[in-house]
Order: sequence, then C-alpha cells, then structure tokens
Amino acid sequence: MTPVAETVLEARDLVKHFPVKEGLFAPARVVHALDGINLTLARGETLAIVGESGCGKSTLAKCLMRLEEPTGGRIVVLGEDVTHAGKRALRGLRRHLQIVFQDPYASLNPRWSIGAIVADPIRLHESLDRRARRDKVIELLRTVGLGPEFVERHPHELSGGQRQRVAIARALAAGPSIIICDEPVSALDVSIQAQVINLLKRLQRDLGIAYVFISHDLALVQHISDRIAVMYLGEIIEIADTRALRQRRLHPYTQALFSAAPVADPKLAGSKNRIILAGEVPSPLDPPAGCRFHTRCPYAEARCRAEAPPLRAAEDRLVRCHFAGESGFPPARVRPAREIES
Amino acid sequence: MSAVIEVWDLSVHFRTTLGVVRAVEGLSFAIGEGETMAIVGESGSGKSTVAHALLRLVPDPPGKIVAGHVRFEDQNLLDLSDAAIRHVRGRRIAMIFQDAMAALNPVFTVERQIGEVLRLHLGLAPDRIAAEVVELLRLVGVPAPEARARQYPHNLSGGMRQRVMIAMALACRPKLLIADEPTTALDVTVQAQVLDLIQSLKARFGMAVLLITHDLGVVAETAHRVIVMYAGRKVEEGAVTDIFADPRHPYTRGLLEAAKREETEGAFLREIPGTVPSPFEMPKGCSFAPRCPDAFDRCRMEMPELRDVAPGRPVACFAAQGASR
Repeated sequence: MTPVAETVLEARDLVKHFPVKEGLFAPARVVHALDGINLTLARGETLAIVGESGCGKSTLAKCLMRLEEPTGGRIVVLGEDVTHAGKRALRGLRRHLQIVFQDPYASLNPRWSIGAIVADPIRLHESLDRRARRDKVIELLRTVGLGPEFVERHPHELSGGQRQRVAIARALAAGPSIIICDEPVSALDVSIQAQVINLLKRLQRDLGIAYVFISHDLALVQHISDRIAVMYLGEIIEIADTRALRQRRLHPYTQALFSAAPVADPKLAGSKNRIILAGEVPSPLDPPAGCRFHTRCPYAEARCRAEAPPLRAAEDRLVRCHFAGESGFPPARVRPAREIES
Repeated sequence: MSAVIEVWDLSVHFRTTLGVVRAVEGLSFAIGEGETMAIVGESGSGKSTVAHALLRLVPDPPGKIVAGHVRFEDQNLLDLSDAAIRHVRGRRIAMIFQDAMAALNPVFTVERQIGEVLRLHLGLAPDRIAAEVVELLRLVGVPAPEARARQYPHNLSGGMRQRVMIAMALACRPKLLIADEPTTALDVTVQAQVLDLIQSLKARFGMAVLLITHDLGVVAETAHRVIVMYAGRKVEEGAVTDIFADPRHPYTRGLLEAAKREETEGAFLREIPGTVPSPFEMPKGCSFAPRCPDAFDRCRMEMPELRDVAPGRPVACFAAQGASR
C-alpha cells in the first residue's frame, strides 16, 4: 500500500455500548462491544478484522454500515462524515458502502427471485427502464459466475456457494467503493470457499473495491488481506501489514491466537510451538481493569493489572501492550500457562 | 495392532419424497487400539451419518442401515437388540457432538447429568456419585469443579459445556470415543484447549477415537489415519502423513490445495470447480468426475472401485498411480 493512497473509510474513536437490564431492580449494566476503535481503509485495500467471538468484530461491521448506531466516535466514508447521517443520506452512503453477510440462507429474501434480489439496489440507486435493468442484472450475475438462467430462480434452489455469489452480485449492483465482508465464507465448504474468495479477489483487481474482511479464519485472512487488525474485548490490540504479522506477532494474544490455529500440515503439527491460553474470553459486561488481556496473558505483571496500555507504535505496527517490542519480550523462559481460573 | 472396531460394507439410505438418498455406500474401515481415525469430508459426504450408524442412532424412518457389519467386542452392533445397543452406547462407545448445549439437558445440573451416567451404566451408589462427578470434572480441566457441578448448562461457556460433555462421555472409560465435529462451534484458542484435552485423555485411557470433521487442520494435528469421503463413499484412506504428503485421489488433492492459504499469498486459491452433485442426480460413473481435472471417458461411465495403490492406501480412482505423481 503506498502512503498516498486515498482513504475511503475511516473510523475515529468508535464506541458502541449496549445497556443491558438484567432485572427490574438490578442496576443497568453495559456491554462494552467497541471501545475506541480507530482504523482507516485505503482504496482497493483489504483490511482484515480478526478475533474470537465476543471481541466486537461483527458489531464493528454493523456500526460501519450504520446498521447499529455508534455510542460515540466518527465514521467517515469518502471524506464525508456519516456518523449522524439521516435516512436520505444513508441511502446515498449505501451506494458506496455495501455488506455481505455470513449466512447466505438468512440474507436473501426467500420469496424473491434472484433477478428481483439483484435488481433491488439498482432500482433504488439508478433510474433504468425494465429492459436495461434486466440487462444489468444478467451482467452482474455473469460477473459473479452465474448464468442468465438464475434470474428466474429462487434462493432455495441454490447451493450455499451460489447464494453467496448472489449476495455479492447484490452488493455490487450499487457500484460500491467498499464492501464489508462479515465472515463471507464461514458457512461454506472448503472447496466452495476457495471459489468465493477468488471471486472477491478478482472483483477487487478489476473494480478497485476495498474490503473490510471480518473473519475468525486466520489462514484465510493471511491469504486475502493487505493489513490485519486483531481485536480482543472491543479493542484493537495489534494492527500491522499482513507480511509483517506473518513474520512476527508482537502482542501475546496475537501470538497465542495464531499458534492455536490448526495447520493442515502434519509435518508441522509436532514441531509447532503452540501456546495454549488459560481460560476463556472474559465477559464484555465487565472487561478486566488494566490491560483487558491480563487475565489470560502468560506474561502479565502488576502493571498490566493496574494500567490499561494504549495502542502505540512498536516497530512496524501498532500494538496495545506495555512490553511488546521491548527486547527480551516475551521472556525466553515461558512461564507455564496458569491453571484455568473460574 | 488389533482392531477395536471393524466396519464392513456399511450402507445407510434415507427415503425422502424426492427419492432415496444413499448417504453412505459400502464403507469399510477398522480402528486400532489407541488409534485416532479421522473421517473428513464436506457437507453431504455422509461422514456424520457414519458416526450415527455405528451407534444405531440413524432416525428410522426416514433412515435405514441397509447393509453392513460392525464388529465391536465380538458382536455385530447392527444385530443387537435395542436393549443391548443401549448397553454399548455411552458405556463402551461414547459420543460427543458439535453442539454441547443440545446434548445436555438444560433443566438438570451438571452433577445430575453426569451422575445419571454413573448410576445407569456403572451402578454407582448414590453416596459415591458426587465425589466421582467432581473427579471427572477435574480430569477434563473444569475449574472449581465442586461449584460447577451444581450449575446448569446455561451457566457455562461453550468451552466448559464441551468439557462437561467430554466428562460425561468418559465417565464409563469407553473403548471408543466418537467425536462428531467436537470443536467446530468453538473459538480457536478454546478449540486448542479441547483438542489438547482429547489427546491427553486418549493417551491416558488408551481409547480409540473416531473423529468426524471437515477441518483438515484438525486432522493434521490430531489423527493417525484418515478416510476421505465424497458423496457417501470413501475415496481414499491412509496414514495422515502419507495422505498430506502425497494425496492420490484428485478430490483429496483439491481439498488440500484449497486449504493451503498462507502459502499462496497474493495469488488465487486453487479451487475445485462446481459443487457436490445432488443426491438425487448422482452422475453415472465416478461421483467426482464432473468436478475432476483428470476425468476421462471411463470415469463418466463407470464407478471406480477402491484399490490399494500402496499398502494401506486404498484409492477409488482410475487415474491413481501406484507410484507418486
């Protein structure tokens, strides 16, 4: 990515809190889904957001799309602040910013034909006559690898991979600069995943679309993205170029996350230095004080429990850890992962 | 190595309004003592049906085990009476599932559910049950087991539920553990914990494991041998190291290529074109032929039988060679 590349999407200090009331007299508590997310996306770039369930990655997708109202912060699309855009302005926004969801069974209206589904955004954004619209639908379906015979079909007649192609065609219909892909292939079989991923890459190459690619599949993310942001409990804890991250992970959570992902190579299985974290992600209702990762971090010290680390520059990236990037960190003699605490 | 379980020629069909689905056709395999056998395949390959058939859990109707012989501890599981197979289930062969919430009863405490297994299968006296439950929970790494035993499934996280289900499965020290996508619903750091747990318990109790999964990474890291299934049939079997180093069936090759992601930075992924054929419109010859890069005329006319291309390496492909390609 050249530094002069135009920024198409930006989030500044994005916050999303969900109040939850657990009982009539219980004090309202707050789920800290997103706490101060900063990120930028350049034209034609792919930024991956990775993390485990509850880290806030899907909430981030919804906030960027304005499908959820952020509690605080700003969202800037193509230079325009859309944080508080009204209905009409939102419609304009969605010409440029589209989303593809994980579940192609839930995201397509089962009563509509494929032709109607793909034509809908065209109807909304362009004034074309029926014939021109139909031609455009056929052209879009061709772009995603589906023949004109699909126009008359309904979602239930399609396989998962074909449905996801339809969802992509629908996203393309408005001619967006940015597509947010929220786990777009997680529901698909491996052989079909490759087809859809290649389609997304081809579209990026030909149309210069930028992707925010949300996924828990670390191998896939390393394949498709230019940069990777790792999230934990509503915060970005490390963000780096994919190549840099592949070589070295600075945050202890990133290290554990990447080491835990199974690798389809039995020769590496034995030699891999797997870090097995103790316990599970704490509840976002009460994120731990200090560093949010300290309850599971094998290297946590007193400072980590007391003081929240900022996202700071370390080497070639940003990382949210007091010690990351220091020489001698992580310590050579790894303390064994502590017994799991309840 | 003597076999813990031997399966011959297992076929399971489902009768539907659209026709008969041959979910599993003519499947044979054996699992040795202490061995982990993986069955890998995509949706519709029949891999889960195999797991259900071994314990006679295929819903009938619409399903039916139409042929086969499953030899386990000197008896044919497919011949047993309902009472006798219940005795095997849970006691000699245990099963864990992808969705622990569905496998646990939401209205009973953890202690009551695990205790029931101990009482029913082992006839443990009521006063010994509580202590044994706590012991089992400790074994599977549940923290604060005394407190957890009194909780309900909804109080537990996904990883903890999976551990409770494993504790239940291990209560009777089974000879064989069938794990059907045991970590698919879990996050990757928790998945690592659970796979690690299954491995260590297997070593400790000398269980054999049948692991059903779609995840080649999980296969590479946990299994000794692997069966690759496609459209209800075994297309290839072998030691995990051999299969990954030198896959002989074009489908296995395609799957492994598609899963190689980090190495293909920037470039396009290798894809397998097309989709799995509909069970109602199975092609005449090899069911993989329509998607196969190497298919020739014979593949489209005739179903290839499994044949050994090397010792312990059956492959169902006309083009598969004895020597490495």
